[in-house]
Amino acid sequence: MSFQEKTDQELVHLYIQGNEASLSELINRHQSRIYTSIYLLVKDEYLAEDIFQDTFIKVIRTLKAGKYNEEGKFLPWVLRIGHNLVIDHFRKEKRNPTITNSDGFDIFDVLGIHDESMEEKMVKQQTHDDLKKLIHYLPSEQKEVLIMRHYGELSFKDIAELTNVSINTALGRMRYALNNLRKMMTNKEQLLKA
Amino acid sequence: MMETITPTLNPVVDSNGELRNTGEALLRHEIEFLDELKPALDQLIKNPSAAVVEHILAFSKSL
Repeated sequence: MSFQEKTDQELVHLYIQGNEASLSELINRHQSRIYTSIYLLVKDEYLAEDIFQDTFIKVIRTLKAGKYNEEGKFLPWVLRIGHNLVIDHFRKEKRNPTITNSDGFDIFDVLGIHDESMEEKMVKQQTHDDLKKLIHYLPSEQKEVLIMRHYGELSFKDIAELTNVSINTALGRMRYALNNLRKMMTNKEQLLKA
Repeated sequence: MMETITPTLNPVVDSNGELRNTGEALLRHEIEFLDELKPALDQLIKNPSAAVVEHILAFSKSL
């Protein structure tokens, strides 16, 4: 059986037994979700890479020390470590994280239509700009749940454990995030003029 | 005669194995809205640099 066919748990066992290649597969398998979850909270590529690296250093030390709790899933565990490091960072910096990026990557590029007219392009660009601003209005705890749910593909039970709240609170934050985004998209003209 | 209302809150199991439209999951219209956002959210997915991954692997081997 190749590494790609093994479960996370099997790869973790192999790594603990000294198989370094299994760590490479675990990182390759989950790096996008973990890195994106960190990056969207800290909004800075270099800082996200530092936290990503620190996250895996903690993972490695924990695994090699034989302290890993096999009852949990690997990805939520790693995301929890990353999440805690992000919190540590903002406690030090004393500023609030936001979901939007600063390097020019546009969340709404995907909405693009090929062979669109100039008017359509302008409308699309305006929509992109508006929605990017609207996301800023989401409270950090709502953005956090949205990120964990989408990128981490975590259950609300996992999100609740990660953020030290009840399942209902995690679910409520997601609902508020979606409802707020929807309302803001509907009322964006008034909101953005304010 | 009054028409009966078709229930719309029947539980549906999503890809994560969670029950939808119950007290412990999102409502259908919320899931549908999130589904609309997903393509845009997916465009935000990024990877760390290869150098960072190499550094992590080198750190592991050094222990």
